[in-house]
Amino acid sequence: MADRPAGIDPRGPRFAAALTSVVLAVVVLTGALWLLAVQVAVFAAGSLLGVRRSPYGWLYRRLVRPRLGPPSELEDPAPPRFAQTVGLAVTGVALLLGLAGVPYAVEVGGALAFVAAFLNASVGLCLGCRIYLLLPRRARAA
Amino acid sequence: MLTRSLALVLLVAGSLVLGAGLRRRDGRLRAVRGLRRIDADELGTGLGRVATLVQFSSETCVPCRAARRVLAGLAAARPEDVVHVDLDAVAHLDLARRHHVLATPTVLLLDAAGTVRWRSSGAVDPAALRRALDEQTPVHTVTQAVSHG
Repeated sequence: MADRPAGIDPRGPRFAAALTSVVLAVVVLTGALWLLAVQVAVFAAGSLLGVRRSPYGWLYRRLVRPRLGPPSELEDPAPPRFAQTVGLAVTGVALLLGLAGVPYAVEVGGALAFVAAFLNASVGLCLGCRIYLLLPRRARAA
Repeated sequence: MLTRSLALVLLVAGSLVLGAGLRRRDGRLRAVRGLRRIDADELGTGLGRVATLVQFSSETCVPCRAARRVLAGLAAARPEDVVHVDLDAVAHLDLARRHHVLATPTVLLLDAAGTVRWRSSGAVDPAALRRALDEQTPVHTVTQAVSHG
């Protein structure tokens, strides 16, 4: 049951994007480096373990999914997982620059990732997923 | 804090405008200029006598299924005249690349000779597709024109 590779509930990544937007909005508001680090860790989990095993995916299955009906359709987990990797790259670089003392690196990186997450949460548009199809086959297989 | 709040408000507003713009492009049928062709060999099936609807899908993309229903319906309404081909974009990566398929579903409308005339990305617009199909000329007029030329 846990390892059904066929498809995931598309509302899961949407929920994760909503949580991500809130976290990144607070990062932009406060410039909190530690909070950006938390989001970087979440992106890393989504990228390495897959969106279902990321903390937000877990929260969705535990808290949200039981209150909703079953999904009408399933979605390929690979594009949202790739989008997590894009998020990891953007926020990871911002975190490193922030740690190195570059002014406003945390806020700017947070803002860039916020736009992508917010677009996904609000209108269901996943920018990272769109890039996925442009990748060469061997990069996608990884 | 006030500047930061303002920055966040601007970010949200900017994202909404961007989202609305990208959404509006979604599914809109756009005319294709130039003479890019797809032949029957590339498709693995014969072209329609009037038009061929080439759909690029990915494995479990949700709007692809809706698009498949719409396009299959359009083809079924005019058998042999209109042919619907659903391709997995990953399995046909070269073809997808050559036609700049960046998202699934992408639909290419080919005329009787296999030239790409229209395209759309995202959820399909059945009415616009039907209009575009009605504009296409059947294959025999095209072959006549070619043989006279």
